[in-house]
Amino acid sequence: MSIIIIGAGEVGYNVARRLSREMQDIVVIDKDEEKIKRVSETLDVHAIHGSGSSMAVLRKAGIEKAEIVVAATDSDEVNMVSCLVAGAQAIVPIKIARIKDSEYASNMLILGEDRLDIDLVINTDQEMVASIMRILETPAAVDVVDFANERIRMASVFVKEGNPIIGKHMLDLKILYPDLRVIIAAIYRDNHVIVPTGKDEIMKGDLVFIIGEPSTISTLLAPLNCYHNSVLKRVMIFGGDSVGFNLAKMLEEKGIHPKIIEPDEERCEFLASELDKSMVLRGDFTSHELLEEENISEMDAFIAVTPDEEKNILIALFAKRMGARRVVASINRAAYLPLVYQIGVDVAISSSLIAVNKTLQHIRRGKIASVVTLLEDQAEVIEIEALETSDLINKRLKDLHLPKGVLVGAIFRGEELVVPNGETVIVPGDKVAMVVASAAMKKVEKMVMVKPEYW
Amino acid sequence: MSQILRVLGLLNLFLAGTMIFPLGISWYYGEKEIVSFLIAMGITALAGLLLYLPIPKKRGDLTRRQAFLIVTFGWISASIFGAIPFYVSELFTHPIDALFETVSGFTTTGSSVLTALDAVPKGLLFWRAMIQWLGGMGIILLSIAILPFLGVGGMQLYRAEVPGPFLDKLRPRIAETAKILWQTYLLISGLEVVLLFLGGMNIFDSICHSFTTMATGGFSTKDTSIAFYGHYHRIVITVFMFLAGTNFALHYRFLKGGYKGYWLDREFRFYLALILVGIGLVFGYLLFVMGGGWGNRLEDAAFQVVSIMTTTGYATTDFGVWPSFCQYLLVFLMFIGGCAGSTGGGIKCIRIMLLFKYAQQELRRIIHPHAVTTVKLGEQNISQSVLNGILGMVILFMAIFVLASLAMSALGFDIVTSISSVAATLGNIGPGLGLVGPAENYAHIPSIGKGILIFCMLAGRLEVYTIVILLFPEFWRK
Repeated sequence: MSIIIIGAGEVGYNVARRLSREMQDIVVIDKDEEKIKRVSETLDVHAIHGSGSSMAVLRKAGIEKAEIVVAATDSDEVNMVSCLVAGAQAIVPIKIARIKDSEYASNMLILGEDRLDIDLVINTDQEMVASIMRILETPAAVDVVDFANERIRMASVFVKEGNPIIGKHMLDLKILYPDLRVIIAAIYRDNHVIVPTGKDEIMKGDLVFIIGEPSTISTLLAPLNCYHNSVLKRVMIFGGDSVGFNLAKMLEEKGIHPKIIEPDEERCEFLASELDKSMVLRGDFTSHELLEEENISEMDAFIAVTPDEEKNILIALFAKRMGARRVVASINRAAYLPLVYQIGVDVAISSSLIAVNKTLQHIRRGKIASVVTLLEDQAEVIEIEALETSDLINKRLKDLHLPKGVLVGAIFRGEELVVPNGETVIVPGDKVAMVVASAAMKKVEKMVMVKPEYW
Repeated sequence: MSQILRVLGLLNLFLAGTMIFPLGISWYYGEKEIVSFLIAMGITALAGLLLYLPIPKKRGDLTRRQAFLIVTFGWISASIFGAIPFYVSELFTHPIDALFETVSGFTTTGSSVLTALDAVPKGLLFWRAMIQWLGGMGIILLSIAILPFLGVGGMQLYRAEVPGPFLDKLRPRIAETAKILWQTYLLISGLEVVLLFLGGMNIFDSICHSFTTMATGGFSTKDTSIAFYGHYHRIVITVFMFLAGTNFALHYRFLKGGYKGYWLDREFRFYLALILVGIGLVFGYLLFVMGGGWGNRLEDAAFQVVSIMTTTGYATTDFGVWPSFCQYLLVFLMFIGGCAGSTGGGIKCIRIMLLFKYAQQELRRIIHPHAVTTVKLGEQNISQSVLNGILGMVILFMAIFVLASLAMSALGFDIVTSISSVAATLGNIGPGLGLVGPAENYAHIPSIGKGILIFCMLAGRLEVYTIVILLFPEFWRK
């Protein structure tokens, strides 16, 4: 499969990195020579220096044969024009564009089939807001991701000291919580992702990934939750840009009236006029008096969402020190994530990781769809369709002898979600969500390969 | 470090595998060299296994540093293990001679310490030609193409082995690019075998000569080199030497239907122009000074200019007896070499071209101090960092040339021999002038001299940086 990625920023680079590992033919285009150099030196892809909206450059990148174009530059306009130019030169089956401005992103007149014909719009800001909302609604979680049309949810939680499940084996959990409708899909410990078997033990400090239905995910989250009080009433948002603004709006809809801090006067006026119930405060990074004045210690959540990631991390730490119960920082670089958790930020959200995951979800490899990448892509959650010809079907899971590092997390049968155990049998037509360690990916691809169709 | 050894082990296994072919030849001709090849294969494979098996595979990509180490030591180890058949078969009495011959083979130099080729067993002659062919497109490149074990690491290796000024990737993935280059190489080599065979050369000699032509190597199976053959074969070989000195990416695009590709490529035009001018000058001068039939003179001039410029190093005539103007011209051509992305050695046409453009730009800057100028190659802008890279490479190339030729003269050789022996090995050509001219060989050079020339050959083949960087203390600093 030949894929052209326009823009070698954090998103473009990581999408290229992931796909190049999967033996796809990738061409990356960027205007910035430094970025192109980084790509050509570290990735096995073809890197072209030039503008992604230029006809000549796209032709050089082999637009005629491209099956997917991903426009992932920082500029909405460049992304849209790139898709337009690409579409004008060749019939590109799939076009994916990253568009931040909600006004464009929701306008199907412009993006729809008659005009730009963009198949998937990735609105990072909107995704960020949705993601923050999910996390705020899920106590204790450091990240919450929905997939399979929001019918499956994966939440990750740190196991803190004093937690009842410390020292328990996976098999014991069933006995402890008989009505458990979720599965522990992965454990992140000492910079490694472990895809657990029944004999693995949960230890203090683990980051566990739980998969289940959105409504039932709390059956395990409740015992894991170390906060005494999980109500969300008082929220403070730092940064009134698009993410902060939309987040405040969403919170208002839920009946929560946040305080929102923004340094720019004009922007403050805009916020004040658009947000009826929120309190808009003017202030900057340095004004910790302001935080104190506004009762930071009483806050259920403090969310730092300025465009400056370092600033977000610092102010979130600050708020945590001053007594905010749960602090959230928005960052760009996914590589910062493990670090940020270590220094005490409760939740960190990487906008680029969200965009990368969203893009990869759309790029199907045969019958496999990547859904979520776990930290530093050591493992990923994939969704596969069980076909008649697949090795997976009509056998009990425990007889399947799945390779090491592979776990069946959830099975969709029609409308029903089956929480799998050793006795479960996959039947044709099932959609299966699996957690796969990167080392086992190849084997899984072989297992689900469609043999007759293949030849 | 362990990962480097592991990859080197894999390369060794691979090299042992290629020894099947000369083994087969020896078996076919019923030569006792079968034993030599079996021994060599055994030792090489064993060394490979000892390095490969005990070291566990580790995740993670190769760093640039590791790539340089793998390529340099990969070439050195291939040369050492590749020399075993020559040594075990007692073709050479001194190990340095066997090593010299092998390095000269892998680096496609073609300088020989052998005499009386006609008496050398076929299996060894075949191995000699085959290592040139393997080295021509690059042993590392071949392993990248065949063993899909390196992703990004593969690219770092590719850049260390094929260091041209730009990265010309034919396909987005490096393994695919390597495969395509090797396929093109194989295809053109096959074509040459057919053409030589149709002209009446026996199949063994056709294959050996095609191997060494396409690699711009220059090892022949005959004592008199190509002078042994008639007009038809000389012309066929001239054409294929010319093709081998051309960027293989252009051949690939041509085969894919890009017929205008050759002409659109600036470097190719420059290469063609240089060759035509060279032939014209040598031919005119020879005819003017030495007389003789113009047909023969033209053939000699064309063959010799193409052979030297593409750094092949075949001879149809002893150009050591030509007028000094012609000899001097050939020495210049030795430095220029073929195109980037070809199997030829030397500094490469593209670098010479860009250097001239760079000088031109500097001149313009002196006249118009405020002018903003860029160096362009056709439509393409050449960045300053590429130019700096070229300048650095040429400076190092010349520095090695000066130091090595000084060292040769210190060993007691005359100026012509000192200069031309280093030029011929550093540029991977083969025969030089004077005591290492086409009618002579390198056997009489003392061991120290051979050592120096071995270094020159490797440095020239890997375009200086890859090997010189290992001599740079900063490389080893943690």
